[in-house]
Amino acid sequence: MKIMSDTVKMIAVLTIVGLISGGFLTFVYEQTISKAERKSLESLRKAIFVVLPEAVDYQELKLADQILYQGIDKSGQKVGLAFLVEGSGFQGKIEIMVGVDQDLSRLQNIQVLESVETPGLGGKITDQEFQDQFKGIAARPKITYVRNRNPVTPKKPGEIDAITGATISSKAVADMINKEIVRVWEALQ
Amino acid sequence: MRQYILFKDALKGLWKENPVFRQLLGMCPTLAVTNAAIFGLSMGLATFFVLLCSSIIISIFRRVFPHQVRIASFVVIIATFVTVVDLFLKGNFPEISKALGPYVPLIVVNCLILGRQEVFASKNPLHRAVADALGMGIGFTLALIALASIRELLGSGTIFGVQILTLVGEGGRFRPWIIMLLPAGAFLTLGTMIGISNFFTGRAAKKSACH
Amino acid sequence: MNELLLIIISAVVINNFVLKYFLGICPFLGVSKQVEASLSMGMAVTFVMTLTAPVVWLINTFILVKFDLRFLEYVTDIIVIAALVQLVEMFIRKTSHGLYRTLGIYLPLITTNCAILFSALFLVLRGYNLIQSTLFGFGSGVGFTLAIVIMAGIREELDFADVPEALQGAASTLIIAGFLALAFMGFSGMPTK
Repeated sequence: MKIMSDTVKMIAVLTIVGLISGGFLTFVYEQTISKAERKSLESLRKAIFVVLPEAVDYQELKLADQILYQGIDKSGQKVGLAFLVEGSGFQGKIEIMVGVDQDLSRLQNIQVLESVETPGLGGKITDQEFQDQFKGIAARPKITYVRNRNPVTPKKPGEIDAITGATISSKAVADMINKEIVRVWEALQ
Repeated sequence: MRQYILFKDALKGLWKENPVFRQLLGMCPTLAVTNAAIFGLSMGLATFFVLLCSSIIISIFRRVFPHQVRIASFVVIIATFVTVVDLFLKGNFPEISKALGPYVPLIVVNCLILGRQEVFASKNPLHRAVADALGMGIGFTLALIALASIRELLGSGTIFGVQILTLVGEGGRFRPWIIMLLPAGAFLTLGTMIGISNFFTGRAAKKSACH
Repeated sequence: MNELLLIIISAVVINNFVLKYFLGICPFLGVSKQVEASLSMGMAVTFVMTLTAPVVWLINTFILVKFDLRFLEYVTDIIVIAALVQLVEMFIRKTSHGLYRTLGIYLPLITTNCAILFSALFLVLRGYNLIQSTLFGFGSGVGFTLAIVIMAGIREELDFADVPEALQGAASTLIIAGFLALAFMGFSGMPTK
């Protein structure tokens, strides 16, 4: 009998602890989730306007398996497309918002949203200096990178300087943008 | 007398039984998130909050939990508060939440917290449990800030983002030691700090109580 | 096939749980005195991790995501791990005496091993499918075993060295782990997913 009541008590206590925990979490979750979602949407919006400098508003375009953001300026003109690019770098996932011209011929700007590259080396892909290189360069035929550029040779169209000591991260960024632009182009046809 | 005991309960966590340097508890977050002081502070406070809340609840209801399922109950209570912290960070500090990443949920298995419940909160009245949680929580947070400040200073020349050492590129003479920001730097710094603390106390840090 | 192989290689050496993500540091410091004990501990962790991964995946996919209960993830994960460890212990105690003697004493310690919870969280974060999850769990366990066995090998040699008193134990182990982490950095940059 004693064992029986012990078992009952054990189960009862565990059940109560579980129920209270679940109920409490549901309450907290309801309170915070809208806030968290709003924040992440906000950072996405901000990124879109950074990579499409002329845009003041945007519309979501849903293609087969990707989402494009159609930038629109004050007079309602289409001023370019923005989309998220994902790929793996030296250490892990990199996520970039990319803005291109309407005909995908030129990059307007990029913003690295997420990166876990080595701080001080590959981590420099989040530096403004590196990202600014992508401003207004030709996206076709493709974006290329050079290491240790000879300062006398002029930049070819669509060329960026790789970060010293972090060629793999730089290459990853260029490659993933190239790949996604082709994919978007194919999807739009 | 009563105040004296409370004082002692709280004070031991700061140095004599410091969770990081003396007891070697909670090593995973200690090493993982301390490449910048702000992350050390955030992780310390998050752990502090979970420790304090769980200690309060478990100390109040300490007579309710049957012996066989006490650990399971403690873990569920701890996991609940960890989820609260995680949701709070996601909602209010998305950047910090992103940087700490999966190390926030890992507070659930931080042996510091479960250890204090088992050793202290489940056996002592509320006021002593709170004093103990305060001491341990603050001790843990301070240790994390110390480690993170050293790594940030040597790794990027800043502390809490404030430039202390001027970099070579900006007219100074300091070249950042990138290794300090990498996993290897975490191990080397913590190992050295524990060695120094052993040297001054004259005894080796207690072997970890949990695995 | 290639991709599955990459998941394992990545989990074992590139993103080694101990040396890159600082997981399972407690047993890494505590048990790494002898190679034999380390190997047993590593096997126990690998065993539980390989089992946890598919179970967590199933619960996450068919219960938590389906009913929109993602915020209960941490609570369910830790319950699954605790329950599994109990079951495994009971099972091998009944079936294999030899195995129980090797792994038995390490099993109860595993519930609070952060490496296992981390692998459960990570496979959800990465969006792995059932097979990928299982392989990831297995690879992570092997990575843990590799790190702890290497460390035990070094520490066995270190017994014959004259280590300053203040650095004995945890301090020197951490510093050696630092050098191991540096060595393992050589693996990063391989294509990972």
